[in-house]
Amino acid sequence: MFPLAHAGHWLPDLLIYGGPVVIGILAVRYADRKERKKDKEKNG
Amino acid sequence: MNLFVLAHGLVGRTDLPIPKWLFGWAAAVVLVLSFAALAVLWPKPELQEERGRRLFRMPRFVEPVIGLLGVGAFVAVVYAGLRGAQDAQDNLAPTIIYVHFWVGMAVVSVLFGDVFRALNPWRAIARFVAWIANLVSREEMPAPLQYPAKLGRWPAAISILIFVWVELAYVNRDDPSQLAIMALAYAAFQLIGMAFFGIETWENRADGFQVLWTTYSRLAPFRRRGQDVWVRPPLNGAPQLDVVPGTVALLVVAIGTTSFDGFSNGPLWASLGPDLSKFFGDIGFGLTAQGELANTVGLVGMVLLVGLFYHLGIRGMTNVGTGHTTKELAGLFAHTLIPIAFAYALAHYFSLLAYQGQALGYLISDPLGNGTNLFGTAGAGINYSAVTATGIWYVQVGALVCGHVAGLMLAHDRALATYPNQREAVRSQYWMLIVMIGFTSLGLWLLSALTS
Repeated sequence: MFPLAHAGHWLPDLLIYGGPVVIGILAVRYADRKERKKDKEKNG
Repeated sequence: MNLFVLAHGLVGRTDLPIPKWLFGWAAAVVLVLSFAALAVLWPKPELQEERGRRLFRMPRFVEPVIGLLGVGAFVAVVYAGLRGAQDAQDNLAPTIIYVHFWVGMAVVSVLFGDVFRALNPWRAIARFVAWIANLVSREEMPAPLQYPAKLGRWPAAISILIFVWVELAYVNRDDPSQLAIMALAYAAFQLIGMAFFGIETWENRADGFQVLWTTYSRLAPFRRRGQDVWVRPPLNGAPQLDVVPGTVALLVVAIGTTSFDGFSNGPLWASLGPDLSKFFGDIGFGLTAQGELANTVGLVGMVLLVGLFYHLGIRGMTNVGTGHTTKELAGLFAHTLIPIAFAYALAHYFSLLAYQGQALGYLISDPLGNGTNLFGTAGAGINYSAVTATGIWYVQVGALVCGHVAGLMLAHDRALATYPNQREAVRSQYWMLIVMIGFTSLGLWLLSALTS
């Protein structure tokens, strides 16, 4: 049934409008990990 | 909304210099740049303390006069709904309720402050009854019951959800007499609530419209303090929001229901909705109930999705620093949703307000739709060239971006006041940035789907 049957409708939109969110999540995770590493090094 | 689908749909294809999807990416870039600018240029909290200056003192007669106007308008709408032509186009009630009351009052609240508190017809009636009762009673009136703290703003959130359910899912949403009866029932419920728990307590917690517009009015440059009208810096009112149970729910409902209004007019719902209706038909529901249930599932689903997204953003923040629970942070940052909820409402309903709002011109002369011409404007029409489709798109994108940048500013300022140093505060806002980008992308997707 749905939602796979309607993938033609939502998949392109998901890629276009979801793109900034996915990139944002990856960037935040990367930055967060880097900050934690820095904290760890600082605290010995 | 049969009557207003036309107004929604009028935002047709536009000749924009860049493709619409690029607006989504550009909006995300604007938010990231705003975030970076805030991190560098905004080192200490600026909005947590309420500031401002007194403008003027409002004469005592103003509020009762505005209240009387509110009662008059309410009576006119109910009378038109019950006695007028039972046609959504010709009757005053549907346009006033869905366009001027529901959309227009949100805009008025953000521009001028909590105007609805003075205009609120059921509050005006309750205040008048209380005044008369005090006048004729020889003994002191009994104190109102204690409002249950656990209820908080939940009754308001549920009221708004029910109203939007009527607007988007109920099959007789445009029926003037049914709308009038529902308006009377709502007013009666508010009067009973105020009688039990006190006028202001009830109005600040349980009257959905009053609570929502008071919340929006925190973005306004004006506020009342007793009889005085004050002017305050932009966004200064939002951090003063008292967070009680149901506050986040109210704002999530406001965003989620507007989202579903957009979603339900888009191509994805046009193909998903019938499947869902068919599912309810297969398990034995009638034709009317099938559509209503499908829309109910969509509406509640969208509200839950928005709530989940906010919850995930807040949960991400708990990774930074120590001692803050998700529940605590959800409350602390709830006010950041106010500009987003308003931005969604403005972006989504701007075309409705700009076009269908003009119907007041002829409806006021012929409120019952029976051919009268009280003010000589019954022949007026709607000027669809007043705002171009491109203009509407720019307003929509502008509202979404400004609303989310305002949300980021509020979140940044609260983080500076919550976390021990600026570095932790900025780190905690990484996830809030994602929430803002997510809400902006969702809003733009809904609008672009609507206009395709």
